[in-house]
Amino acid sequence: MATITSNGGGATHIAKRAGLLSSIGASNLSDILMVSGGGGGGLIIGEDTYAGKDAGGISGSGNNSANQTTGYAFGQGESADGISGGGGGLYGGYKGVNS
Amino acid sequence: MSIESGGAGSGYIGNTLVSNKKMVGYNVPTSEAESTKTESVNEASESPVSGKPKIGNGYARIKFLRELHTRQVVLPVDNQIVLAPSDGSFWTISSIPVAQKEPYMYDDTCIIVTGQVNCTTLSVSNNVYTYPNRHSVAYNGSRYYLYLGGMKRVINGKLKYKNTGGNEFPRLELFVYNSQTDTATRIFTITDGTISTDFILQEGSIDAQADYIGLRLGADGFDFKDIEITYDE
Repeated sequence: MATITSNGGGATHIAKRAGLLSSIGASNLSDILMVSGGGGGGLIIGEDTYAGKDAGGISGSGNNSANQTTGYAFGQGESADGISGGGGGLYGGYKGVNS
Repeated sequence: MSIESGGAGSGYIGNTLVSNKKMVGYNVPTSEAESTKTESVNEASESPVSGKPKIGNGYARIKFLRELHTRQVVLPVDNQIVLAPSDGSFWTISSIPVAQKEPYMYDDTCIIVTGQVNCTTLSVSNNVYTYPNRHSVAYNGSRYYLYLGGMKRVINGKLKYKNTGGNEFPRLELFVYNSQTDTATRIFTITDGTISTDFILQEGSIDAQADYIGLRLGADGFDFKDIEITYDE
C-alpha cells in the first residue's frame, strides 16, 4: 500500500530583524510583530487521504498542532518521517501519528 | 489504527501597544483574550483578503499599527492644560489657576500643549517647560498661536521666543475638551518644529536677535473658528 507524505507549510512572519523565525528565537519575541502559521502536511495511505491540520490563530487545529507557548520547536515544524510533517509557526506543529 | 496528519503551526501578533487586534484561522481554536484574540472561520480565500485565511503561499501585511488621528483621551477636569509627549502619555499641569482663565471660558475649552517653551512659573520634568499663552483658552474668533521649541523672552515689554535647542518632544498636539462627553478630541498633531521667519524681531541686542524657532501656524496664527471640530457621539 503506497504511502505519500509531505512536510507542513512554512510560516510567514514580519519581524524587526532579519532571519528565519527559528533563528530569531523565542528570546527575541519582542522583535516579532506577527506570524501566520503554516498548515500541517497532508498524508495519503493507499486510497485514503488525510488533510493536514489547519493553521493560524492562537493554535492550529488538532491535537498535534502548536500553540503560542508550546510546539515542536520555536519557528519550526517537525519534519515528515514516514508520516506527514508539522507546519511552521511561532511554534511549529508536530508530525503526524500512525499507531 | 489511528492516523493523524501533521499538526499546524501557531499564529501570533506581538506588540503590547497594539490592543485592537485579532487573528483569523481556518477551523482553529478561538480565544477572546486581548493578547491572543482568535476567530475561527470556515472560509478561505485564494487571494489575501481581510477576515479569511489565505490558501497557498503565506501573506503578511501590517494593516494598522497605531491609531493616530482619532484617539480620545478622558480628562477629569475642565480647562486642563495637557502636555502630550511622543510616547502617548499625558502630563497634566494643574497649577494654572482656573479663575485666571474664566473670562475666556466656553463650554468646549481649547487645550494647548507646547514643547520646551520656557515660562516664568510652570515646568514639568525632563527639562521640558510649558507656557500657556494668553490664548491658551480659545474661543470663536480668537487668534491662536502655538510655539514649539522656543523659550519665552520679554524684551522691552514685548513677548518673544528664543531658540533653546532641539525639541525634547517633537510632537505637539492640540485637543479640544468637551465637558459634556468628558472627552478630549485631537484637532491636529505637529511632529516637528520649523523656523518661523516671519516671527523674527530685531531689537538690536543679542537676546532680541536670537533665533525664533518652533512652529507658528500661519502668518498670523490661525482663526480658531476656521477649524472644524467634531466629536464622536
